[in-house]
Amino acid sequence: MLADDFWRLTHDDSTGRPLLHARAVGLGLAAALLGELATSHHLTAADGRLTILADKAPACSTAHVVLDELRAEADQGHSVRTWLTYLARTAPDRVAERLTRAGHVRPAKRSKLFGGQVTHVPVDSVRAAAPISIITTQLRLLRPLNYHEGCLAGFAWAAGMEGRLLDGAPTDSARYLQHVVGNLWPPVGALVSEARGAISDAVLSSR
Amino acid sequence: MVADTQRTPTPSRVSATLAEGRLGVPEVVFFALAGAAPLTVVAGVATAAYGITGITGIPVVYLATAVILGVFAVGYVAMSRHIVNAGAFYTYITHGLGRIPGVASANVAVLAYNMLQTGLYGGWGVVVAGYTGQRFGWTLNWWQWALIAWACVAVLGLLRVKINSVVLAVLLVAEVLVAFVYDVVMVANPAGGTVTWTTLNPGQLMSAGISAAFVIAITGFSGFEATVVLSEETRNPRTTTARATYLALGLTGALYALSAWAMSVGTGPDQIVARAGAESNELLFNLAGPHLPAFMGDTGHLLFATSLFAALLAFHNMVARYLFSLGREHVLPSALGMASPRTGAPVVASLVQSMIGAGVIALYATGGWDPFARMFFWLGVSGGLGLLLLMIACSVAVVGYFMRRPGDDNVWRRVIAPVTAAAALGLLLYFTLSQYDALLGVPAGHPAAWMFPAAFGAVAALGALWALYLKMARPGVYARIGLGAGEPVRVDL
Repeated sequence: MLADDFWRLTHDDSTGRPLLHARAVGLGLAAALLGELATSHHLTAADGRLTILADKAPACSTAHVVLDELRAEADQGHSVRTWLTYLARTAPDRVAERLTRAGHVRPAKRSKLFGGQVTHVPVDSVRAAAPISIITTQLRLLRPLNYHEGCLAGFAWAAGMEGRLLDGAPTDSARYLQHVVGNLWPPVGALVSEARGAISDAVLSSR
Repeated sequence: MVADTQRTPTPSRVSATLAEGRLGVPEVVFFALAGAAPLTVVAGVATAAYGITGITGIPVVYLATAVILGVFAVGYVAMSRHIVNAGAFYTYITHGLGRIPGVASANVAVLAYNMLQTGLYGGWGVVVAGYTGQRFGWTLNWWQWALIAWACVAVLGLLRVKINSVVLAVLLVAEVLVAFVYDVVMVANPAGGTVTWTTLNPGQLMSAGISAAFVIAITGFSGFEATVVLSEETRNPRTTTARATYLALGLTGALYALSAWAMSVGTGPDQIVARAGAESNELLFNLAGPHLPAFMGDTGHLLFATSLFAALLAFHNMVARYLFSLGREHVLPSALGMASPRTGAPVVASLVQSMIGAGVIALYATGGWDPFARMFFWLGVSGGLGLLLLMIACSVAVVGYFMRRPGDDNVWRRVIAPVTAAAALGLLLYFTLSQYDALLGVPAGHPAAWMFPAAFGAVAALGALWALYLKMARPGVYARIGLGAGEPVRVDL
């Protein structure tokens, strides 16, 4: 699942600590969840708006919850940006819960010194590191990325992680990444653009 | 985004949820006041104004300036309802007058805010060195203290540590209260026993060289315009920003006028200029201190220092924000548009501003120039001059923008207010430039009198040339100027 792998990309593979600031994690996961729904043809994104396509229920319960929220306010005409901002609040918890249910991560309470928050520690750090190592390898060797990897690369780029994706790779790889990002399937490409704008604007926010 | 609830009658859970986390008028006012640094203006800028320019009408000038800026704010805030982009002046000018003036104004803004920020290091250094020297016998000099503040600002800016908003609010309220207490004490102990109203006399507005005082006043108000930067994060963009802007202007205008007048009552209007020149940033404390318990003096100095520091950080962030916005649009080198994924901080932009600050401190330290008059005051008012230029251009841009898109704003907002503001500010600009030497307190023909205004002209011209180059050689980049992170501007909130 896109959001699961995006979570893996943006959290340390052994400690589960986030590698991105909180808003970027939230917005990126929200975009990835919408990306999952776009991939399963439940919605499409274009011109700054989301359009719900199908009535059938998504296979995944998390995606189902998100789709229900979208359906409930379909007539309000919210922009993609609004949806991203709204879904970003709950996306980290939802995706972490989904990963926990599938047994990929387990919750671990951090000590009071660090705010007593719950982090999610990957059960298998090799599996957790798989998405980033696959994508960085493909980019470095200029090998084709499949659909899933391309979407992931797009969302990672949107979150400002191109440094990590291109870790030590030659300049051709940077151009290749730009090519991949610029040629995503349009609904996902639109989500990637919107996420990029939202995360970039988060830099300018006062919080 | 919030307009969605205004278009459809049924309540939206999404909009309601998002609104909860948004800013209300108080937070936006505090944000603007941090940049305005009330106690710094009262204790530092106002006394510098009296002492360096020799004008006694400072209080009434503050009131008049608040009114003019209020009229300017009408058009300014009206634009903020239509254009959501944290670039503020530069973005509005781009959308109202075109990309070439826009890029020119971006450079002017970067220079002006850098002047305002780096000048504060001089004020901080002098205030802290003076007080710790006199109170505790410490021997660090002004630039050593300045470097300490510089290091703190650099680190906080780089790590994107936001001063906790509660802390900020408490400090601001304390600042304002202390200033008010001092004012009451000074008025209660007038020189010669009688309260005089001379410095509040509107007739003072006719005295020679008064325009210099207006620019100083604008410097004091600088930061109020930051309210629009938060528009997107407010609960109700249509009204919150406007209310916060007028509230910030009103509060600071009243406080500045009151304090400047109270000081003249404390010294007597015939003595205020001489004593301000002699005692400079200590004048306020010298006047009120003897009538208050000793801890008030310590509290006042501490809050003066925190006021300066808060303003240093606020303007550092403003410059970093501008550089980041311009970098991601490729108006300035795109490296400036980079943010740290870990912290979300505009790291390159923050570092660049820190380097500029270090450079200016080093320049004044090695040059041996007076940090209060030549750094704090000169850079401060020159920054104010830059803001004056930006406000004039912005007012004209407002008219231009609404000519093409009338929307539902009324004639007062679209035309009358901005035209009036442009005319008044334009007149001020003319008189200021012709008397810049008097403003700086230097003899006629002194190089500083033309260097500062010329600097703005130069960066504006450079910006215009760069925009022209972009138009011809990189039209794709040129077309995206003023649009934020390459996304279409969301219009009509």
